[in-house]
Amino acid sequence: MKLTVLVHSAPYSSQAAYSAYRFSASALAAGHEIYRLFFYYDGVHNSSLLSTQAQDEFDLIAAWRTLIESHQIDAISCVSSALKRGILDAQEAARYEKPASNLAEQFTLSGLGQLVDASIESDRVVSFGG
Amino acid sequence: MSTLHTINKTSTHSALSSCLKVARNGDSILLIEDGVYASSQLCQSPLEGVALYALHEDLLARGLDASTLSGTIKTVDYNGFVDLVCQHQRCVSWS
Amino acid sequence: MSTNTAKTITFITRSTPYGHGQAKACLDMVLSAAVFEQKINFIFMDDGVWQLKKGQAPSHIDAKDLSAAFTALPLYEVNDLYVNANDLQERGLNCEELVVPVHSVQANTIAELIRESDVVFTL
Repeated sequence: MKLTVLVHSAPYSSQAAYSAYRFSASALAAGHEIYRLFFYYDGVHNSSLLSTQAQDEFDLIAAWRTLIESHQIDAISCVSSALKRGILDAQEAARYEKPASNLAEQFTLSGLGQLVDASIESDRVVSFGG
Repeated sequence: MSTLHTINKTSTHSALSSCLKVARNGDSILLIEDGVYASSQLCQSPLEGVALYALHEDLLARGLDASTLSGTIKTVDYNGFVDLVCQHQRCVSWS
Repeated sequence: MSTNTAKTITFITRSTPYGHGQAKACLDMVLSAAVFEQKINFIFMDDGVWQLKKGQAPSHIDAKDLSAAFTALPLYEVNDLYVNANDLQERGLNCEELVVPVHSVQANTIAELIRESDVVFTL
């Protein structure tokens, strides 16, 4: 099946983003396709390259990056949510004259239209957050 | 056209009560994250025609013993979660 | 996007308008879906009904007026707004105190709307 996963919570603030990761990994292992991972609202924090974990803690962001890369998943962080929360790619950093960018390369900044498109194109949409 | 409802909050939160208001015959409810703390309450007042599940990993993490749950609530692992999503027409997450 | 292939997307909003950002985030999702000409149901449950209360003046806390955006929803052809009647009543509100006309419905109607939906978002 073609699945889309929506994540709207930050990593570590709640378990939701981790659950989304485990669900996505299981879906892929079972042979399903992830049409799109969409990170919205506080979920955009999952795409920060600068997030740094203690060595003895599960590194969710590293796990996302590996999963996205190994399965070539279309992973999008909502651009308006991301900019507000200080998650910028090089292009946005240049546009707003910010000194740095921090969007992990496995993610793309794009608009909510990508979530609506995913809702139309996918067989199922599963949301994680709160 | 059945619905999978997921709940990730304890029973003191409106997530559970709101879900219970709109879950209907043929639907399933899957308790995940802190939602698994509501397992026993949900067992005591099952909804007619609504299948109940709790995520195994989240039960274990919280020291909740799946074997003490009554037969009305089944445990599933993440693979089972994926299967439930596929078996229902849509998924509603209550948080 | 042809309307023949339009999906029914239901949004359930359950958060207060200003204490958290979810209400605004949900509204933004609704507006985006409207641009794609999908069939949209917008349902207010639990504390989400506070979003509809008349007389909001969020400029006092330097916030944008969410309720003003609701009055613009018909321009996006989002006309199917529903509120859970019990949740309204529990908070001492009635339909006359709301910024826009909404269908005040029982949980049974919300259950039916969910059943008729292809996708449901809750925020």
